Amino acid sequence: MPKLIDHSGERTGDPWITYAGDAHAIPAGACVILPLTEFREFAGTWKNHAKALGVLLSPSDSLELIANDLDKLRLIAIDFPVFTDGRGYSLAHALRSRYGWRGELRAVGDIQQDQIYLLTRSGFDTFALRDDQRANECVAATDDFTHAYQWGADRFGARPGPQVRYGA
Amino acid sequence: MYRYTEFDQSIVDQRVAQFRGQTERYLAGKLSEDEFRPLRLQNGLYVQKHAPMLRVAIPYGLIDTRQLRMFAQIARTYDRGYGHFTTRQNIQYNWPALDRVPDILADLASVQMHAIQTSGNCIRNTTTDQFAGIAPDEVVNPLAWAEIIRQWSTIHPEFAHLPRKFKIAINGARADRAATLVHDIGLTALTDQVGSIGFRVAVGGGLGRTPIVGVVVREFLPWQDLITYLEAILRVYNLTGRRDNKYKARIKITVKETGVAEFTQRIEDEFARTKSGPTRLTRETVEAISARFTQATYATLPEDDAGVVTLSASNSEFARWLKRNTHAHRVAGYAAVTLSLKRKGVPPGDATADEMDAIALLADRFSQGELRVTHEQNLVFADVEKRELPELWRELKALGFASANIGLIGNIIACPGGDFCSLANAVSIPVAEAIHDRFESLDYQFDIGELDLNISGCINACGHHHVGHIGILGVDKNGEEWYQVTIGGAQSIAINGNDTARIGKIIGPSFARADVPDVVEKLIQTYLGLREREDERFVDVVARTGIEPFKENVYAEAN
Ligand code: HEM
Ligand code: SF4
Repeated sequence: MPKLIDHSGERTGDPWITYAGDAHAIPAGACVILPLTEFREFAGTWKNHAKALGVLLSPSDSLELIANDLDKLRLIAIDFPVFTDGRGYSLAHALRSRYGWRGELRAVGDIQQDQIYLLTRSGFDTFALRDDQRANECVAATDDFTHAYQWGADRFGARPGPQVRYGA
Repeated sequence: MYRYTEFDQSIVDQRVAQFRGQTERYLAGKLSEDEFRPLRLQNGLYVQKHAPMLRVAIPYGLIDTRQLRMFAQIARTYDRGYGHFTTRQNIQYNWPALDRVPDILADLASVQMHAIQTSGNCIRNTTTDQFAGIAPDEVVNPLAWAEIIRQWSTIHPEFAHLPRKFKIAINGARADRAATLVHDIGLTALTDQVGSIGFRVAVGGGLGRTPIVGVVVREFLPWQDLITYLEAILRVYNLTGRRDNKYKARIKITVKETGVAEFTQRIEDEFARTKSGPTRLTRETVEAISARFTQATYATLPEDDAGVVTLSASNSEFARWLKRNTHAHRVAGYAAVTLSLKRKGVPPGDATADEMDAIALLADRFSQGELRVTHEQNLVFADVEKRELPELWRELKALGFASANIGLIGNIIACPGGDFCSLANAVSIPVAEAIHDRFESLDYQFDIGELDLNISGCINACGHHHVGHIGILGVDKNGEEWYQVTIGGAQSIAINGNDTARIGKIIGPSFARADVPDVVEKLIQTYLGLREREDERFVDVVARTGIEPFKENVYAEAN
């Protein structure tokens, strides 16, 4: 299990399990994160089996495919296969601002300290860290800047975020 | 000059602290090469042939003398005593030590400067017309808009990992001196019938491997929507630009592969959704940012100065300098002056620390303490009283910055090329030198008239060879350095009354390095033979006759 953090510290006891093809590995009544194709085909079945559903998006997934199902979801995870693939930032922004998603938005995959600030500002609120990352340093990185010029999607979240305005 | 507020200062200071931590982790082995690369690039640090290279942003080309003196101090303290002004309104240091870079950035921050996003797959330093704010043909002063774009793009969280680098240029005059059409986004500020400001937005221009002239996706975007619209373009590009092949990752390819109509539709859809959001600009923001720009103060002077007229009548050297290196100013009795950084034996755009200090003194004396860096790798004093031109000319002559070659063949643009750059196929600077020597005679240069000659050491086109009236490109032939020649390119040329950019055409097989000056000479001789009027420029003749006559002459003997 990767370490999970939010802006206030490490999160222990994460209830979410990611479905990876073996349904027997998921106990009844669990909180399950489903890949998008699984969610689209079998959300109905899973709903009976699981306590809550989340979906795992890859960078190339279209948000239109879940737009009508957001009320079925408690968590959306976006995968970063490599940290340099920046599509997840725009997906997060769109989820928060365009689709009005207010539930948990989790960054998973190649998640490192030096992306945390940018991810936070794009609307992510939890981070499943790459194994070698140190939780306390990653938590601190959410506050790398106290001032920013952009109205990021973090403005929809619980965390105050940096002060945002133009310089003058 | 835009003067930072504490808000702006805090952002660059915290960026230095952040990069200091990243550098320490890298040096301690806690960050891998691959992990550190995008971080250092987005702080201006490139690793090139000999050593790291640090590219410092000169936002839209404007600096004051305190900042120029800091450039000099950095060159002395951390480098080998010189810096290189680039074609993108930046300055580069070629020899900094990696572990000192955070200190350099801290020194820069102390004079309100930074190296943020001067490299890497992010929004780069926004460039503009070097005569912004003072040009008589200006419709809208682009400077405050450029600063707004600088702020918006600085550490933009959503766009720090784009498919590829992203360059924005903005121009507000009738002539396009910012080469807007060869940028990822080219903005032209203009006004509508009732005088409201807006922007013509072109997307998908660029040089490099696939030179393309940008296409206009909006004829008039109201100023309130500027940032929202830019954000819409970037969002569509970030999500749909190709990430599988770095040579197809620029927005120009996305536009081409998606089709202009479809791509425009996607931008417009995204824009329509976000139009009334918080990125909409208000008058208060624009006014507050404008108000933080220093304002030049102007004396009431006659348009022409008797001393200047007298000296130019008696001194042909001064007269030539006046013709080529001084430029019209919107205020009577003032002129802008270009300091030529194209000198015999010195790579184009290079200046030593002592020279920078000397230039700073002159800018304080003659141009209200500010200057500009041009994309032709020269410097401009924007606010010089005409009556002081003779004195300034003498001072510049003594320093070696008064070559009257602006706009002429002596004003060669060249990238660092094989002497410095690991991507090069061939050297650029020695070729520039050889051509410079061949055309050293100013009489000859004046006879040839306006001519942009641009050299790149490889297809990345840092030297903008595609838009040179004559372009020279280093190519590799079985491990040897060869040079391909293009003619007829222009960053801005009037075709049927419309200003546009043109990509040059290749004249034929490439040449050995030693033959390049002869080839240029033959092109020039062909032009001089074809020219119908004194003011018909080389590039105008190519546009009229096509490349055939040039081709015939150049290749005649060889066959
Ligand atoms: C010395 C080391 C340098 C290296 C390794 C380097 C590398 C590159 C690369 C790889 C590209 C192409 C990227 C692409 O278009 O996909 C590029 C483009 C460019 N570089 Fe450099 N560069 C160097 C120095 C410079 C300098 C000194 C200048 C300015 C004089 C410069 C100005 C540019 C410009 C204007 C482009 C843009 C071409 C376009 O818009 O498509 N570069 N450079
Ligand atoms: S054009 Fe090529 S050789 Fe010249 S600086 Fe750019 S990458 Fe290097």
